[in-house]
Amino acid sequence: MTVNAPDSNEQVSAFVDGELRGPARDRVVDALYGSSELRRAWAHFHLIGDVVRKIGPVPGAGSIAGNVNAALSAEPVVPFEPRPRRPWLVPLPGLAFAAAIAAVAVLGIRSLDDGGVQPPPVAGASRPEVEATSSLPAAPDPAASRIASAAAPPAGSEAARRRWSDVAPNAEARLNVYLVNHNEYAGNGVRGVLPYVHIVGYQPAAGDYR
Amino acid sequence: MRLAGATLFATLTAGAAASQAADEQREIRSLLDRMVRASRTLDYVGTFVYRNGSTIQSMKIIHRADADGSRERLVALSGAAREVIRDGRRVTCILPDDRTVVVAKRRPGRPYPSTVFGPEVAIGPDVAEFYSLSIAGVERVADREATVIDARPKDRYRYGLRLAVDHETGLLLKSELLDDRMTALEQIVYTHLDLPESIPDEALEPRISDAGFTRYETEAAEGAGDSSTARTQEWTIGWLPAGFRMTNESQDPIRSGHDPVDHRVYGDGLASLSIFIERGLDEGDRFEGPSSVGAVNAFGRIVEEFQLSVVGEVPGITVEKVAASILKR
Repeated sequence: MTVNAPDSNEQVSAFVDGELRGPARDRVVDALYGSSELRRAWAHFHLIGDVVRKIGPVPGAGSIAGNVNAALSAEPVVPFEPRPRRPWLVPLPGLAFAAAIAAVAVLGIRSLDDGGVQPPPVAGASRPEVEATSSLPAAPDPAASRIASAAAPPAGSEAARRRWSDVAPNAEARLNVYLVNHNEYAGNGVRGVLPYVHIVGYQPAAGDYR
Repeated sequence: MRLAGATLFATLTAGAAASQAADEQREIRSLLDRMVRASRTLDYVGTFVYRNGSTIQSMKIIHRADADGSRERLVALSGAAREVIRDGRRVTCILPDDRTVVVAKRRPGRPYPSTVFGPEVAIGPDVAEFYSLSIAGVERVADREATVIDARPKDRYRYGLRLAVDHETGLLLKSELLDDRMTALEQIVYTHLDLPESIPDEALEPRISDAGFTRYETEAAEGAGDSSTARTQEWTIGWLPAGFRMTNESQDPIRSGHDPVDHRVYGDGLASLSIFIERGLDEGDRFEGPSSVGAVNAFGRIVEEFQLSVVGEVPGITVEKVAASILKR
């Protein structure tokens, strides 16, 4: 149940792209759970994919991750001891939290209700209602939790409720992808809305980190 | 004689009113055209606020119109000092708190919008067929005088707009999306605007050093995403709001190893919506029925193995009617 170190980044890349199924997918999930380095790679793959998608579609999302993979391959991969896999560590194929992470990370966000983002130290910690579906490996990792905390809204705030209504989490992620592409192609229109704007308004729950 | 006089007076009054209305429409047309030119050609430095519900976001923008296109730098004003710098070819995101720089290059032939605030393209005259355009007065925005233009939709299938256009420059200073009660669903408004004679290169460089940051570069390949395919042609859209025309058709690669998503964009010049047709989604990724976030509405349908989705900054009734009208040939 381990991911071989030389291939780990590649497998995380494939995982992010939704290319893994069954045992292969499980192995990567286990690996993410046990390795902060891999989680960092995982976060970067997502971030880069999101940023790229904001400026236009890219043929073969896998190639994005592939490019990054070369850079990441220089980073050491820390061996880990596999832990029992939690049942809620369900990877979401493709873009997962898509737009929200990059946009929120890039632009920052504040809630009028509380005067600012008060991120939880670990994704999901401040949102018990979604904790059961949180898929970010629980071990604190600076990169992952920074990104997570940038996007996680304060519990109980209006921002926390600003999410796609009436859809399952995976479908919500899909809608985010659509929204990014819609903004891209619809252009700014007369209002000149920056493409990031609606995405910034979108507030992912910590549980979106899958 | 008295009757004839009254009739003449009424005719003259009506004529004057019609003439006044025509003048107003010409003025609006002139303002809209000027707004488009201004957003393309001016250099400016400003701060603006985006508000949607209780969410508010503040950013600084530095915009320079170069001979070869615009260059722009955005800086988050709260939280980490993240920056986005973009021109027609690339966007660079600097994330100091993650010690990361991401550079993404734009596909040739599809330059990035030259500004985040202000229209990119001319607004067609037929907009007046679908919106009642009027001048709502003068407003002070960012310590500047602006003419306020109201665009009220003539049907229930699009939102209204209120635009505040700077007297001096023609720049769009404030933009509101309005529901049918003319309540703002979201706003973008400048709080400060400077118009320097020139913007030096340094102002468009990141303020923070990215030394030691992890740098990621990606390059989009050429020629992707614009070809219409046979599969796209398998679907017909039975209904769209009056005046909505297709403005773009593409195939968006969303998942590697899967079919790209057929994507069509329709708009009336002010509002737009997208139709996505995607094959083979997993059960958990599918959605049916209405959903919304902010002023954006979506409606999903499952037809055979296809997920049909309509997404746009239009009322819920619009995305639902469009979605219901999609037919497989």
